[in-house]
Amino acid sequence: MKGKRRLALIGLAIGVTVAVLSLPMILNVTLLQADPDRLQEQPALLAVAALEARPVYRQKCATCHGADLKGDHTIGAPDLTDAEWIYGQGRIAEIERTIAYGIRSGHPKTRNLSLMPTFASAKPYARETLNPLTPTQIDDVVDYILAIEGRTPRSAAAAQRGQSLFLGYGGCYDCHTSDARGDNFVGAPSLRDHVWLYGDGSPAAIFASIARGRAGVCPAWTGRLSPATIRALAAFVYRKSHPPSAQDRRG
Amino acid sequence: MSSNSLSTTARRWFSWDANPQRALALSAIGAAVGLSVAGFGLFTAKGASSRFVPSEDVALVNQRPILFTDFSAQLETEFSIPVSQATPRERAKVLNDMIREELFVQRGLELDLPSSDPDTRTALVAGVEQQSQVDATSAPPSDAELLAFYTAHKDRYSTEGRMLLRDLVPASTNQAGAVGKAAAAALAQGRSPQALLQSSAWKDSGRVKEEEFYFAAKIHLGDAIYEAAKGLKDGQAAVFNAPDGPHLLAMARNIPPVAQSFDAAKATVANDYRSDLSKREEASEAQYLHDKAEILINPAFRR
Repeated sequence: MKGKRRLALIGLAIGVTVAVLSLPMILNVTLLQADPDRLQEQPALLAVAALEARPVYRQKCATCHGADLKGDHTIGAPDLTDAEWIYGQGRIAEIERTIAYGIRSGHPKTRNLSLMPTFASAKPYARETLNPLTPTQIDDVVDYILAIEGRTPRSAAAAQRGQSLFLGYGGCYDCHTSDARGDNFVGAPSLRDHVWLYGDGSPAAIFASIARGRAGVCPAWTGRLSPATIRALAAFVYRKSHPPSAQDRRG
Repeated sequence: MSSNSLSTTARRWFSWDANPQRALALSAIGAAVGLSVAGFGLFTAKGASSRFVPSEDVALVNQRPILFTDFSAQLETEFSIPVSQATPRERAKVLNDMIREELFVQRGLELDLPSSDPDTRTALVAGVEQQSQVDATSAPPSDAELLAFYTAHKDRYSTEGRMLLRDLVPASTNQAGAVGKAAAAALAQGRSPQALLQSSAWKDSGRVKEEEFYFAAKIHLGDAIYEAAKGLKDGQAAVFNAPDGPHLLAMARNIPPVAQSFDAAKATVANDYRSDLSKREEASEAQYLHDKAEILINPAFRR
């Protein structure tokens, strides 16, 4: 009788151990089988996935995006907690794609449709012909950007000239669109939203971006992290940019 | 039957002493079965095969996965909608296209296209080269590494120099040399450049029209005149004798490049660091491949 009880206890212990050990596997499979765009409908799964991804984020992503996910304006690492997305609309599937293949990472499937030309150079853009700009022309475009952002330009006449450059000679409209709201398919940010990827949005910082160009990089994690970890990371970032309280309010 | 009697029976059955011929026969059968299984696995050469599609894939084509992420991206590219909003027909269309592509890629490998098709070869070379870039970006550098790189290449990080210059040439080609000499002498005597600029003996060359970055001024003026102009300070003028005749260079504003602080240059430093690392990794990959390859060169082509 005593032996049987011991056997039962051993069996129970083994069962519990197996169940505990297989939990992450079950979570991964459930996570991967779910439609990423509907994961927000399963808050518990989203929360567990985000919990699992937290240490991975700290290890792999925090170097650039910061432990608080607020980004780093000196290297153009975006704030992951706001509602502004350079690529896509912030859906989990879109975040997952960025994590998997990166941005200008060199991976053949990376997001790499555009980069900010270096207008203070003889050949501003390698992929197509663009005109270099003079310092005065760049200043004019800076004034136009200040104006469309609702700030007071340093010169109204300069802002007017800047608009012509933006919509014509400078070719800025091609990526940022003619209303400067950006194009999140090619990764061209809106210039109207008061969110600055590089610098503080001062005229000098905007001048520097136009003169020297920008080409931020995000690594491709496919092959280095498992598909489940990548999705969990996407869920983690999604939760940080869509906190549960905000989701409730939206709901 | 108790467990004790079971083990006794088994011991007797397999015991060498009790029946050596039977034990030998069983060993031989075991070895034959093992060898058959191993031989089947080896010679059918299909590798590990799965009947189950992993959760992260939408399909397996001859065991090659089509990832959900790729399927989702392809669907968005074709129909501009996320997977959750796609109709079964749209999903099927994208999936069929992707399966077709995978089958053709696999067929391409069977046909050994990389050894005959220049486009495939170029794409493969570019792909391997890009891989070093992927490796270089996968480990973001620390601030200390970036700072060390910045310190080692400080001369690369400065603002763009700019100049607002007037470039004048003699109004008439006759006596151009004399006009140049007279202007040079006047400047040497401390005469105001303004007086010379207003003189009818000189006219604008038309090469520079407004304030320009150094790179543009260099292109417009030519290397020699640019170098002479670059050294002028605000309000200074000089006569430079170029192969096409004398040039009166009057600098209104000259802002030379200013070294950037680490913080100001950090984004560029990070890109340069990655680019540098990527080039080194690519070179080391090429060297490694070269070292481990067996390359035999026809004696006629040896140096």
